[in-house]
Amino acid sequence: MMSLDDLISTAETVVKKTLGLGADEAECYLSRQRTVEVEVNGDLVTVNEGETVGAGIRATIGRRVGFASVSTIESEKLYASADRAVSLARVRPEDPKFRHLPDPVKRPSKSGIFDERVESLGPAQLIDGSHKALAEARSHRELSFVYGSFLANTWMFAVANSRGVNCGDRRTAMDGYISCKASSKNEERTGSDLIISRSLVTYDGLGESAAKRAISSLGSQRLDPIELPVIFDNHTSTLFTMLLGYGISARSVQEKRSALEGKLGQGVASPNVTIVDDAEMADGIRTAAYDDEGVPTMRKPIIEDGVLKTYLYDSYSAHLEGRESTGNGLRQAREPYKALPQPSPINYHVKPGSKTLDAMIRETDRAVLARYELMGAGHSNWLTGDFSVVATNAFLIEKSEVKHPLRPTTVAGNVYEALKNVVEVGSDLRLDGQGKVPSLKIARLKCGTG
Amino acid sequence: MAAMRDLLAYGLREAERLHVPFAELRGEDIIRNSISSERGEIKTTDSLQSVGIGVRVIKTGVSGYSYTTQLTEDSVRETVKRAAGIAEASEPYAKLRLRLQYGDPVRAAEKPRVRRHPRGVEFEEKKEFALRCFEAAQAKGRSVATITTRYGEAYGTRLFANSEGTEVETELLITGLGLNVVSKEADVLVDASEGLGGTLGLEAYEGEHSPEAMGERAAQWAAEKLKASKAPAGRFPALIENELAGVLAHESFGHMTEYDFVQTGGSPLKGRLGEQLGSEHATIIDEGVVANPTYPGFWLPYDDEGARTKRATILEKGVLKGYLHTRTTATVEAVEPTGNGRAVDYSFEPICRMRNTYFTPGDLSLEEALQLVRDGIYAYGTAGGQVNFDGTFLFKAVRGYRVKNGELAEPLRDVAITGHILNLLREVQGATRDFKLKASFSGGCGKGRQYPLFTGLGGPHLVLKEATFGGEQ
Repeated sequence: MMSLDDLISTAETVVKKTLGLGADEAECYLSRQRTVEVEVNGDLVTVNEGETVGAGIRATIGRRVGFASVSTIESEKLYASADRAVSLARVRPEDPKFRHLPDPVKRPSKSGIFDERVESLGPAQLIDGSHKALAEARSHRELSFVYGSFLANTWMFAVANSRGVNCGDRRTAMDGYISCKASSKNEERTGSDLIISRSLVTYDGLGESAAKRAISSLGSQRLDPIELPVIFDNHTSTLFTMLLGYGISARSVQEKRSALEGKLGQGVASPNVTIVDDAEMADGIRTAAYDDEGVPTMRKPIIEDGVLKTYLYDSYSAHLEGRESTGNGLRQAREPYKALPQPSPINYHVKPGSKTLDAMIRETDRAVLARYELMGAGHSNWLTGDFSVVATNAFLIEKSEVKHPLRPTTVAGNVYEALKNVVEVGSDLRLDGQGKVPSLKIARLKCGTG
Repeated sequence: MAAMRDLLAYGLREAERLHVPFAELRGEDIIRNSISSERGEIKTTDSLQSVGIGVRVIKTGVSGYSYTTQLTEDSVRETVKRAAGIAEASEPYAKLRLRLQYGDPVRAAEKPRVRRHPRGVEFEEKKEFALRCFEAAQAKGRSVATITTRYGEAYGTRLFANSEGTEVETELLITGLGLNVVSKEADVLVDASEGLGGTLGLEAYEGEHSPEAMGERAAQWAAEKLKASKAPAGRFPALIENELAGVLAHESFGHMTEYDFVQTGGSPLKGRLGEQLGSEHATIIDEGVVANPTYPGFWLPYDDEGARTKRATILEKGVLKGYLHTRTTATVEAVEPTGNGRAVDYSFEPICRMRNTYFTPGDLSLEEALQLVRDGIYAYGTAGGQVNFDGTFLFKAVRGYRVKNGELAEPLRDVAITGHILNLLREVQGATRDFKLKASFSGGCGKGRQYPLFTGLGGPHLVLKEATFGGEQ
């Protein structure tokens, strides 16, 4: 197995080779990952284990940038890719906004957790852990279907460029997801639970929790279209951070497709909202000492007491404004070497308030409570922030109590308006792929069931 | 590809040496090129090569899967061994045993027929596709904030070999051209997209689908959305445009007929063959090779289990006629596999997936369809959708119009349609004669962790007696 140092030196070799092929500047990003996956679909079990390693090469000639990638690091194919990157840079027109690849930046930054126990986890252990959790769900006779997906992943990356960047980092990650369907005479309802961690986890309790969530949604009632306050729990509140990611990207702003253009220093959220991009979160899933183009990552507030403090920059967007990258150049793909860096948050940290979810419910006269899962969040209008999602586990709150479950409930609004209407921030931070986010209460949104 | 073919044969011999009763190997070497422009400037020029070998073994009815991107005998031997080890480790937990009916070996090699394969066309011309889209949109647009365009192509070889002696070699080909126009006036920010994709030669991007024609349409739609009103919420008669009809066929109904979901209780369609689920106007097909030169969708003559793809009529005049099968699910039911065993790439094992899924056309003209709707909503295009295991769905139309007195009235912005799919199928009152089927180069279907898979979606316009619209701000 290759070490991180081996990976960095391979990247450096490719950079030299790419310069030799005629590039003015060159960058090589390599990523290697080992994945064990278990998927359980009812009684059907599939298990998959394997390792991938690949390279993404940027070659520049003047202001012309070519990018090529390949899913192997066999030298012959690697150099053929370098050649494709250089050839593309030769034939394409200039990109007047491109300045240069990133320079090495000296700035202290932190790696996240790397757990050797995850690195050495074999398929047998993962299968065993997943089956215990699934057995919890299956012990409930109301359930008619159980689905589970479990993964252990070890990942490392290296990046080198001809301006002197040469670095890398690694991480381990595990996740588990169980979704099930509870049936009664005239109703079918789903429930799910999810766990994600950089360290070794057991899946104990995951199946029980998913089952209870489905069962507790049985006996649902209709809700005629109405505007009501909505409490999003610490699962569904990630809708807001997810949509925010598009608007705070400096590239979205520069390319005039961000609703936050020109809003720097202005109030964009209610004063109780503080959102930090926390690259120092040791257990944060995307924490790494460097971003995917070798710039040290950093912790910085995005929204402080409701005021927009910064956009997120990769080197391309930063150089265009004559500033330094904020260390947010991430390659967003299952195999990151296949993608170019784009500004993206590392880990959100929403500053928690003082109240638990229960306390928020107690102080509410009438509201919709959207728990656990939303459908259609990814199909929102990223540009405008308009969303229309279906809360699959929604409940009606009346006079400080959860009165009854609702049928799948459509909740519609606009993320940027909703952020200004956050009336309460919960104390219950939960770790998710996006970072740590608490429950949020929004003053009013359109709600209704079919 | 000779070296890859030899490696697959070597892997099969290794499997035999390990006393694995059934093994299959898939090899791929695919190039994926794309050119994107933003505000009239070429932004990215990418060339991605995907090479790898995947190995599936079935031992005592249990499968194990592994893969490698190092194309050497050593690495293939290790991968076969790892897959066999996984099958053994899973054995105590597998309640459902796979049975594979041994079939006659298949030997085939096929290529799609197109006039101008992108492999033989210079970068310059493809770059112009992206820029011509921009220029047309810029000229026709109103208050344009930004325009992004993208041309993409993927092609290469896929090899399959298994213990039965089956050897299939097919060439993958997909091209796509599309754009997105963002317009902004005061605080109103809107966008519109247009595009075409599928197993198409570059001759397809002429006439109705020339960069100019598509660019102009997208710009006009974005301009129109600037003055569009909010979509109302509630229940209305509806006219569903071709692409959105395709999404409904695929997302809401197609997935429920995938036999792995049926088998395990994930689908509400278990045990309902022959039942009248929809109106007589609803017929849904899923097939690998679509005989439509303008709209071929994604061409797939063989699936990733080496099975010839068959036309599957899943819903015929509202009656559930069949399910979609892989080799393993077909064996359980003692039916013929339909050729729906597909994997996103070498790193995944084939599972039950759709190919090209569409509603069949009816006999209405668009005018007649509008008359039938009378007063309601015309929902157009799609920004995707999602379906829950209980059949609840949510779909986003990217734009729409009010229909008043059987005629198109004012434009509407983003329109969300929600409901339960089985209810929706009963509401189909008619379908038009026109037909479109597209496969996206940059998007695709997701199932579990396997995303994105090239799939085709389409159909005619559908008239729905009533549908629930979510409404947005």
